[in-house]
Amino acid sequence: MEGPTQVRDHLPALPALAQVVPGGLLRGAAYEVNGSLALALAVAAGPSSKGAWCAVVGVPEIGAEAAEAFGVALDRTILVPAPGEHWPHVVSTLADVTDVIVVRPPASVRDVEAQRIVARLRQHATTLLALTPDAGAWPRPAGRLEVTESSWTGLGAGHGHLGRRQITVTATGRWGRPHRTRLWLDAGVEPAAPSDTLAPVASSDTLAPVASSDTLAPAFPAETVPALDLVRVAS
Amino acid sequence: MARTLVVWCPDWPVRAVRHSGVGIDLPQGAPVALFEHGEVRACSASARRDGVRRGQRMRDAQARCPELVTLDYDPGLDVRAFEPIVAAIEEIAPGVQPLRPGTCAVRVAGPGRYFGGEQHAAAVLAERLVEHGVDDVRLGIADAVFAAEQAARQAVVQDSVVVPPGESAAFLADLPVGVLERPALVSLLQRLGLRTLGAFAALRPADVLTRFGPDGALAHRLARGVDDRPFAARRPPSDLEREVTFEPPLEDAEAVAFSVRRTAEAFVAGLAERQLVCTSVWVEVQTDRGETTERQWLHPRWFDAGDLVDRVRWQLQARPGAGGVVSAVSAPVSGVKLVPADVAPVSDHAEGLWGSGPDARVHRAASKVQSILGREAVVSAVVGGGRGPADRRTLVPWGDPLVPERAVAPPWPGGLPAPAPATVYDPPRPARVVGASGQPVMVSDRGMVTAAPAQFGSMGLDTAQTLQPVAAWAGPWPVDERWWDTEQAVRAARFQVVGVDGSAWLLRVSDGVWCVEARYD
Repeated sequence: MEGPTQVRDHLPALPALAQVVPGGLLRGAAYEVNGSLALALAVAAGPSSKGAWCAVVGVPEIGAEAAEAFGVALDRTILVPAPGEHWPHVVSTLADVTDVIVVRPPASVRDVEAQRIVARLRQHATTLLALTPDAGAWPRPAGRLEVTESSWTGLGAGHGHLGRRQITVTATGRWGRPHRTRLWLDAGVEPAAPSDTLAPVASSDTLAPVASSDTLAPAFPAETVPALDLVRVAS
Repeated sequence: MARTLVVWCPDWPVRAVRHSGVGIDLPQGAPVALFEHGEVRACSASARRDGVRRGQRMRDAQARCPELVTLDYDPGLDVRAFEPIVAAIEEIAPGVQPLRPGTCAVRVAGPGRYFGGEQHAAAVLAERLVEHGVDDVRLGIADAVFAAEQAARQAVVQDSVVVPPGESAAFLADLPVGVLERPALVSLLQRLGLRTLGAFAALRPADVLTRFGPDGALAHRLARGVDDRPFAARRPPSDLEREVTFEPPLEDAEAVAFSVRRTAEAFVAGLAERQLVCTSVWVEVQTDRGETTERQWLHPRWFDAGDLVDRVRWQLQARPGAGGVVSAVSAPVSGVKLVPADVAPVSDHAEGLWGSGPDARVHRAASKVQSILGREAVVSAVVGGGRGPADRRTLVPWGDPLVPERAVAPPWPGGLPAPAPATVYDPPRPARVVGASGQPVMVSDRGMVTAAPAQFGSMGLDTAQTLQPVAAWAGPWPVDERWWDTEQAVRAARFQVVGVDGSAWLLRVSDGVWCVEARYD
């Protein structure tokens, strides 16, 4: 029987995510990720792009294309969309062979259950990312990553399309005060410089008042509409 | 000189479909055509009488023969159905060279002496094949395979045509060049005015080689009746398949799986004796009503006994339906047969000195989860083509080839621009979108919104029933997919919406009903 892994090294992370958690995420620990599947996938992309196997348990709505864009190797990803009540067993089995497991646990996780899984994780140096709707659904996590701010560019009142997104990730954990990192998280992950202030797309106060029901929007995305002002008439 | 006999069963693909009884009740004499890539691959004699030809498009074929039964062509079925026929021939004349499904060649010298003449041997073979239910069989005997095959094509049903020794060239001379089955060469020869094999054979071999290349030279040799291609008789396959019968028949999938274990072990051991492993297997399940269901299973590495037992169990358990797992077979199981479909030398798959690689461990863990939850419960995702985010994602059961449902390659105009959503709801969830004064937002037939979306909410998500104000939106982006197919047609419009809380959504409206397709979280 293998004893608990003594040396707790860190999970490889995408360069952009290196600063999200001071020192990086530990192997063999359970973290909570609140409210953003994209963030969990970006974290999993670190080891996955370096050749590790990943598992996603209980998340039937995973967007394969987004995961691939972040760097998750889908051919090295095991998906168990609906494990039902067997999820602890499935997680324990897959912990044996994977480096990262993203799991959406049912509403309440019993402390005993969580401890048993964490013991298993520690034994195999696997990191668990529990997707939870609210903070505190996973008992005593090693840390919590939360998207506290999110703003999009590219979309207007009836025109454009979603372009870039800036988020603020707040990491809370045993390392002391909450640690905030600003990131671009859209078709990829990039660190956001402090100067990258993002003009909010159209917050509620800047939004033009919605006119009466006869306001019509073009049937095509804005860029496909010919720009009429390019037509100049020679005087 | 070693004489050759060719056995030809016309329209073999159609016959194979009839014999295997793949589901369809085909009335005798009904016109049948098998299609591959939308073109006729093979058709029955009655369909040919109505003008259906190989290479025709489905529409043309149906126009010529409205009552045509159209089926998909399955090359594997052809081969499998021909296998027992080859085995039957081997019982009489060993050393069979299968040329293609439906056609095979044998050396006739031995059987000819044994049965007292070539024609007698051919008659015995024809009789044996008719016993096996192949009523339309034609045989040809000549000096070499090509001439013998052409002779078989001139024979009448259940009879043979014999080309005397040394007369192959004379026999072939009158045939059209089309029988060479080299479309490019044949077309060129016809344009050069060489319409018969005799005319082609009259050219000088050296000229043919310089003008038409090695393949042309080979065709020229065939036309001259010189067929010196090596005769590659197949070795009868060793007996690797294993079968188990249950008396009395078993009803429970678990009981079958339990009883099949010894057979599976014998199957793996039989392969191991020949230093082989099986990477793909056919599992045939017979029921006491005489039905047979068969299915091919692939394995990313190779099958051990436990894996085989799992495959048998999965084949018996259909998808979980209403009221638990429903059995895929309707009657008690009377027998199970394991047939190797693909074997490889064990050295190709040997475990390393320090145990198996990481992928083998991963596979074992995934199989373990499959054995708890069922085969379809463990999947891999593949990104494919399509317009909606759910279309672009294909989930394939673990161990199956990673092939997307729709190819990435064709252009998908109207697809969504990057970034891709991280959360894709399949099926979509219901939603509500209202305008400034609370009226529902609709999209007209001409692709215009009746009101700008002012508030939206998704029902059944965490923001249950509460509507939140729209901060920004874009759309409608009309989608009109597969309009030619009444069941799969999609006519809808997509919107991207950002709420005041910064969450971004992909909404779709179809016939005034809104739903959430994806979330950019």
